[in-house]
Amino acid sequence: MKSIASHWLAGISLAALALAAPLDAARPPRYGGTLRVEMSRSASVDPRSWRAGTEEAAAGARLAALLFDRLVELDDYGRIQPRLAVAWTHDPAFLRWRFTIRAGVKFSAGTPLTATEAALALRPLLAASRQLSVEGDALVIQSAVPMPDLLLELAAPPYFICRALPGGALAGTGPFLPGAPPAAAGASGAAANSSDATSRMIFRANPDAWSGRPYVDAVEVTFGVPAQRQFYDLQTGLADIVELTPDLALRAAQGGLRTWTSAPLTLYALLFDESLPAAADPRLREAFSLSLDRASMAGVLLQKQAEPASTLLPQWLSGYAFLVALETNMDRARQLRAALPANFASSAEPLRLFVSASGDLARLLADRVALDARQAGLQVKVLNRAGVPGATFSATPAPDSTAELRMVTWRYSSLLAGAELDSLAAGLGISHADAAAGANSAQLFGIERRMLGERAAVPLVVLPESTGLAARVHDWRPARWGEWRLAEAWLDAPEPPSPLSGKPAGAQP
Amino acid sequence: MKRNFHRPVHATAALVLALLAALFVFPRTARADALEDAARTLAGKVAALPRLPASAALAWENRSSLSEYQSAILRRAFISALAGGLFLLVENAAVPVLRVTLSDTPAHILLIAVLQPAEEQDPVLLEIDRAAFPAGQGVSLAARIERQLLWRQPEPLLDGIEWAEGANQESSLLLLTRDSLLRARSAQDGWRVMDSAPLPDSLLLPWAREGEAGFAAVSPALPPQPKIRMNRKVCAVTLGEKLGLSCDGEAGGAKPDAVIAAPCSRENYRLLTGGGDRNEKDWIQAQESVDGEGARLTPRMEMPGPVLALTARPEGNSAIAIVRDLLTGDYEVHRITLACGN
Repeated sequence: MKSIASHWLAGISLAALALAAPLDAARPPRYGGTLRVEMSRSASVDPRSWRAGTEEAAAGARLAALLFDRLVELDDYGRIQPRLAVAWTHDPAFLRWRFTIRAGVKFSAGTPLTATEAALALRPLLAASRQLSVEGDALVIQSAVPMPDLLLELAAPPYFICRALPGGALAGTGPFLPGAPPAAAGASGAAANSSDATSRMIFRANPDAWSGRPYVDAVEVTFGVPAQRQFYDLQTGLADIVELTPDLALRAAQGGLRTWTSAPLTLYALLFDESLPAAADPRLREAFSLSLDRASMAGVLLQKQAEPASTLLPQWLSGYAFLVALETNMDRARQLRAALPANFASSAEPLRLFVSASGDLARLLADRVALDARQAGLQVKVLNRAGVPGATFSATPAPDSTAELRMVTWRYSSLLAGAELDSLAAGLGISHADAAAGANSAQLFGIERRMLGERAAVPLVVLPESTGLAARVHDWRPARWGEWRLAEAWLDAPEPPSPLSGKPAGAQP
Repeated sequence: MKRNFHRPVHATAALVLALLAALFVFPRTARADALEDAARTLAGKVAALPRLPASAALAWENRSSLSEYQSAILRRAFISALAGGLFLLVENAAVPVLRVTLSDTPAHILLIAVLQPAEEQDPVLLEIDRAAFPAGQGVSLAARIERQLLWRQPEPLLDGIEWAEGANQESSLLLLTRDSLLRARSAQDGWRVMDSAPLPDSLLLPWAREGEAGFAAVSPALPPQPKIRMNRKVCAVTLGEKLGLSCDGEAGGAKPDAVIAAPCSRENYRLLTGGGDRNEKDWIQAQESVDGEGARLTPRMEMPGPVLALTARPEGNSAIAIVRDLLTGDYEVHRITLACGN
């Protein structure tokens, strides 16, 4: 009798389980669907057109990673992984590297990848001091200067292998192919460039990709979507991946939306124009630096969506930034201000602070800088960047923007601290005696400390990048330095009616 | 100086397996050696500092993605290396502080030593290539718990386990109720129950005692076989075409700890619960298993009710949590995994 009852109860349980609705059932990654990405600015996928330190280059690198591969890449554990190079050797002095190119890989145009093609792709991207040659199926890179960190250098965004086609288009070996653009954008590298209208690029899954077909059928990228609009599209299911400004990242997190935040990737800093007498005075620079309340800028003004910056390189890239403390010392700042020549106020003040960086955030920070400086007795007038469209900074001030101070931004892109510091110094026009590329951490710390001591550039805050994600996006595994890796992502349900057939994502409601 | 990443050849499968086995047996030794070498080098550099005081107090901080276990190895080796010299580490607030910080970059682990006050003393920076650590073990990125609701039902569930079956290692979900064992498989639209087996009379409990019955430790004998323990007895589960139970009177042991691995670390994590009252919401947290050294904890994952059972998959990549939802009264089956980064 008991046995019969057990069977009966088991049957009830079985029926209950069979009738229960399957909730978030475990499933393997699903193929199909279109991943809809919205970005605020246009971007070119041509690495030859990227200018180091700009947001445009960073956005372009994200898209280029869909179409192109590099020789090697850095994984999340700090290990170099093979991509288009399957093997590499170097001599004991690191002067000569030999990369064996992966066999059987074809560009999207159908031609095979060869060492010669790899050399042609890298030639415009590498420094002229690097000599490239081909030995059978291998690419050889040589230099008169040791290159111990060449693998890390080649794992960074610009070093994509692509093939220039007649007409200016680029062919790659990546997981996606350039699709027919629904708007005026193409994969020729001259992507969408209209800043006042939305435009799109489509990337179709490459079924023959050597690294395997990506899960999604396509990635549709809409450019020129204002930040608020992106936020709205994410909320209403019209977009799967959007960029979030610091204020919207906070709102998204508070509203329970899914977000991802990178390591700090964008530096906001002040540059002194040493050609102007007032800005060349070391006492003025020190007074200025001591008056700045970076903690308030990051914690209050930017609502903890940024970190105070004491160094030009962020902690995640240099590893030593925590050793440097730039603290506010208003008393000392006032003393230094008082020690300036008696005619300083009449001849140099108000100091002009030109906001070279784009966006409201730069203007907000500039106003806060002026406020802090005023506490130390320094009068500052903030000038807008009117008339400088498209530029985030310029090492050479425009004729109508002569100013003692400039507010600039720098978007980190290298995985090597030394290379990044050299690039930053060159891009922002900061002179430094020692080349940082190739230096070890101890040497690099010394170089950066000397640069900070001269106060030609005064770091303010570093900002991470925040991304909003739809719930249906799975296996979102970006690198903390900002690479998105969309080939790994998949969607768990058919997307809502395509914006292409109805209201476009990014359009006003 | 040469690395080659051509695809492995099938004929060498046995050799690869042997190497993999060796990796699991020896990684801790290899890792410890690399760490201890680095600590000794740092100690040597500190001892060579000009104007070195006779003694200092050590302040140790791990800002890196190294695990607390690795940090503890470094600290111990560093102290040991310094102990042989004239420089004395003491616990005294009146002496200078030797601050050692572990930090990292995308490619390097940094060991940084600073004597404080440090007005005239440069920090000592030691840079170690992450590749110097055995692959995959150099860092342990911050892990966090993720959960996935697989199923829920109003009937009581006592325990669950995921099991790979057959030649193609198809995943099954075995669920233990008060009187039967159920087997479910993943289908296109979710999990579907395939079959069930009634529990023998000898196992049945006179009343519901959640948490006192469940899956037992998996025998190390091959092939592995799931076992249930109930009413102080253990029965082996027979898989294959027909689900069955084989009870030979074996006495039941204790419920094993649920230990799973994180994808970013070779260290295992033991899953913990609050173990509070059965009418309160519970949480699950993972503690890095570091053999008694300082242990890193993941943030707590709140659950909708008490956690009644927690059983790891034999492969150690996930666990099944049985939870009673306090709002609905339903019994829920959650898959618990560890993820890394943010």
